[in-house]
Formats: sequence, structure tokens, C-alpha cells
Amino acid sequence: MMRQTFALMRIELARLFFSRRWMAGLLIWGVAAKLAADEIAGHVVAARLGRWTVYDVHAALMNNAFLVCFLMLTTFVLIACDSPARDRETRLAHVMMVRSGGRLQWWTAKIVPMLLASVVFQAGAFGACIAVGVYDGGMLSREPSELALGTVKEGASVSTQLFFTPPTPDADMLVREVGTSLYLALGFAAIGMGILALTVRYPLSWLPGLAAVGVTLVDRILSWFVHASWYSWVSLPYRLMEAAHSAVVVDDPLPLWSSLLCWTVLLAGSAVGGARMLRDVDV
Amino acid sequence: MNETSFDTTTSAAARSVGACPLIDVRGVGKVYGSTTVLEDVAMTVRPGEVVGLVGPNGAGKTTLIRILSGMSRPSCGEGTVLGRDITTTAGRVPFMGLMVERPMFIETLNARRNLELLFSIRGVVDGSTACDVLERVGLDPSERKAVRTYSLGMRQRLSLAQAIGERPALVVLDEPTNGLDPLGIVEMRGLVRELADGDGMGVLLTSHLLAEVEAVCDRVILMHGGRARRVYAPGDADSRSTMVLEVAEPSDIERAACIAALEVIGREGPLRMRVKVHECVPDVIRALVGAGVGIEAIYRDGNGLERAYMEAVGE
Repeated sequence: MMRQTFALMRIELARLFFSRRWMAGLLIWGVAAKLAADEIAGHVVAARLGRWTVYDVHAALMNNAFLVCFLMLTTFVLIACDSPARDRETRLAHVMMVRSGGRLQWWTAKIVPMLLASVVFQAGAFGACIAVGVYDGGMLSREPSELALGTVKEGASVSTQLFFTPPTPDADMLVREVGTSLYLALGFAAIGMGILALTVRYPLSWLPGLAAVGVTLVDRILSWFVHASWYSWVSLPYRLMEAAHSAVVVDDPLPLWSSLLCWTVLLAGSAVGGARMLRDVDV
Repeated sequence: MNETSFDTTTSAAARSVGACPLIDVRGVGKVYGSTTVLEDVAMTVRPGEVVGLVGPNGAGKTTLIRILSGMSRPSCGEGTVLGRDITTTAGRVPFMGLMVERPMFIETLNARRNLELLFSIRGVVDGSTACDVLERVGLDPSERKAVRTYSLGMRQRLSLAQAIGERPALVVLDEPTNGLDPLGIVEMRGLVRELADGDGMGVLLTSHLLAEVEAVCDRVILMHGGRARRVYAPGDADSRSTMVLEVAEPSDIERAACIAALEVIGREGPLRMRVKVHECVPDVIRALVGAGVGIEAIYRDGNGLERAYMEAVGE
């Protein structure tokens, strides 16, 4: 059984990572990184700060709700989360399942590539930020820039940057941004897992993309009407933002542990729930 | 079991009667909400036997195949497929060759690579199997074109290749002749018979081409409205004794009807009738000649399945 699961997983990995859909990922990474870099550059001028680093671009991107939730999350879901539904629509799932030895093996072989894809997707975004940052004149220094530290300059039209958590002066920005990437990879994987589980019940290949846009859109609409502090606890897109956990940036920060717990529970719950549902549904 | 349920083992091909059934199910039904799509179906398939499932669209053929292949759980019924209880979808799914309708593959890879990947899941065949089976189904193993460029007929052949490549005990073919050209249909027919006769596989197939089903199957289950209405066995004594007699003049029909060696079961125009012969064909011909019947032709009825189908669907 293990052998069949690994063999099936290898196929799913090849299918996912050799897909032309990653071209869309490349495009989105580039666009998102450029928009974040422009935001940084504009802010640097307004705040009369010195030079900025490529890691500032990444930090800015990771805290831009539109770029992360609408562009990146949707693209990730479209790349990595429709495989179970698509295979069931085309009945490729049938010929795979009779070979895998069981439904659980097939499900496992679908989950692991999606998890890896979330890490690769964030790595791609990270790489794009560095490339675009260098191209736009950002420094490669791992020391926090004046922008990152929120330095206040006399005569500046904006006093400090408030869109990502200021690091400590001795922080290693590379390590910090790798950590932010991994956090976002966990968040994307958890949401992706929830969507995969949804497609077990409703095997429609267009559903994942719609669900990704829907999660963000519904959250945006609700956030206009619900101003209670509890809403930030239940808003998944809000939790994706690194700055949502910073007392410097927001008034009522979420504890980081609560978000890690939220993503872990969503990830594990969806994986187990999906497996249980798959046991009972007609494929 | 009610009267519309058939034990399809009763007219099984003689060579497979003693063998342990690969499929042995009874009373199988499937209900979606308030809609019954399958009701009280019983069937067996033994090694070396080709069993056909025919019926109009919506008759329940694909639903039955999904249940037998472990992709769907029946609402009622019992039995086993390759030893696995059909009432559960948990646990191990036994391997069977499965050819699905409108097959899809990993579209960016060529046929050989697709097969190698699929065969690698179980790892029971060696690397040359993909080439061998591609040749067997009439595809070129050295073809480098991606599967996305394939015609429906080529996809059908590739789908058959993936189903039979690992030499499963049981092969389930859903519309295997769909999209094939006439030559492809003839080749498919020969290949299916070869799988049963040569490789000893049990084959369950569905098709709308009645003549092809009749030519290749040992037994045919006629389905309509979710039920198995009738079982037709092209090779059994009853089917073989049904003949068509064509005569020279209308009066010959009356003379032929008086002969004890045959029984008229239907007239088809002034000069042709279907008869059931009670003696061997040469004796019947001698009796006809002796009675002064002008025989234009006498031949075995090749449309038995079509008639049975029309009767079953019309019931």
C-alpha cells in the first residue's frame, strides 16, 4: 500500500509541477512584486528615507491584502487545488484509484503535492520580490532598512511605515522574511486543504477558483459591515496578514499562536474530513 | 429477488461454468434522492467469459459499472467483485482493468509515458510492457506526440492499453468501440475475444453497437429503466436454432409452415420468415425440398440480440 501511495504521489507531483499553470504563477509573482516595490519606492520618497532593501518588498507584499488574497491565493488555488475534482470529472480518478489500492491512498497522493506547492508558491513570490527589488534599486542587505525600522525623518509627509511589523534593529531580514513566507505557505496550504475537502463533496473543477475568490470577497464585504473586534478572529484573509499580529501596526493584534493553531486545525481537520467524506461519496 | 431479476449464470459459456466468479452480485440497486437508477440487478462474470451490458442511455449501465469497480456504493444488494464486498468503499480496492468512457490522461505526456506512469503505481509489470501493450492495441510505442493531440479513437486504444497492460483477472470496458473507425471496431472485437479466450480474463463490456456485442459476447444482459430485463446468449442452443428462411414464392411460405422439422416464429414480408428449427439444418433443408418449397436462402438469424433488445426495451 505504501509503495502504491508513493508511486501515485510521484505522478501527482510530476503532474502538478510540470503544469503550464505555473506560467500564471510566474506572471502573478512578477506583477505582485512590482506593485509591492512601487509601493515601497513611493513610501521611501514620501518619508524622505534612505535606501531600502529587497526584503522590504517582500514584507510589503506579504501584508498587502489585495495582492495576497485576491491575486496570490486565487492563483495558488487555481494551480494546485482542482486536481481531485478534475480527475473525477474526467474519470482519470477511476483508473488511478483501482491501482492505488484504496481511496485513502489516492487522497493522500493529492494532499502532499498541494502542501509542497504552497511552499513552492511562496518561494516563487519571494524570489520575484528579490528579483524585482534588485531591478528597482533595492539593496540586498540583510540588515533592516530605515523603512523597515520605521525611522521618522524631519519634514517627511508620512512619519513611519505601518504596513508591516517593524523588526528589531539587529534582526536578520532574510530569516524574518523566510519565516513570513513559511507562515503564509501554512495559511495557503490550510485554505487549499479546505477547498480540496470541499471538492470531495462537490467535485466541480471550477469550484476551487470560485471558492478562493469567494472567501476573500465575502470577507471584504463582511468587514465593511462588521466592525466588532471578534471579526478579526474569524476572518481567514485577515489572519494571513503578518501585520495582523503586530501591536505596532494594528490596535487589536491577534496572537500569533492563535493563527498557527487556526491554520493547523483547518489543515488537519480538512485532511481528515476530506478522507472521511471520500470514503462515503460516489467517485 | 423479483421476476425481472435474472441469474445470468444459467447460460454461461460452458468452459467457464466451473470457475470461481470474478463478479458475483445479487439484488444490486442504486437510489439518488428519490430517483431509482438501478434496481435488483444480479450478474456473474467468470474467467474467460465476455459479458455484455446493453441498454438505452439512462438504463443504469454506467452506474452498475461504477458500483462493480468500487467507485460507488450500492443502495441495496450484496455480492463480491474479485473477492471484495461491494457494499463497502472502505479498505482495499482490488485491481481490475478499467476502461472508462471519454478517457483522459496526463495530456502533456505521450502514450508510452502515460502507461509507464500508470503501471508504476502497482509496479507489477516491467518496463517493456507499455511498448508491448501499445503495439497490441494498434498504437505506435515510439510515437512522441502528446496525448492531447490524440483523436478519440486513439484515446480509446490507449485507454484499452492501460486497462489490459497489467493482465488483470477482470476487465471492465465502458463503450470500448466509441470513436473507433470500422477497422478499429473489428480489431477491438478480436482483441476482446483474445483477452477472454487467450488470456483467460473475465470481460464485462457495454456498447450500443448490438451487432458487435452479439459477435463478441458469451452473454448479454439487456438493461432498461435500471433493471436487467433479459439475458441473451448468442451462442446458446435457443439462439442458434433461430434461422431466417427466404423463399421464391409466397405460396412456399404456407408449404414450409406445414413441415414438422421447423416452427414459424415470425413473418417478415411475403417471401421471408423466421423459423425455429427442431432438427439439424441439412435435414430441415431436405424436408423443405421434399415439400416442394423453393428455397432462396436459409441462414442463422444474426439479429437475435436486436430483436431481444427491442422486446426488452419495449416491455
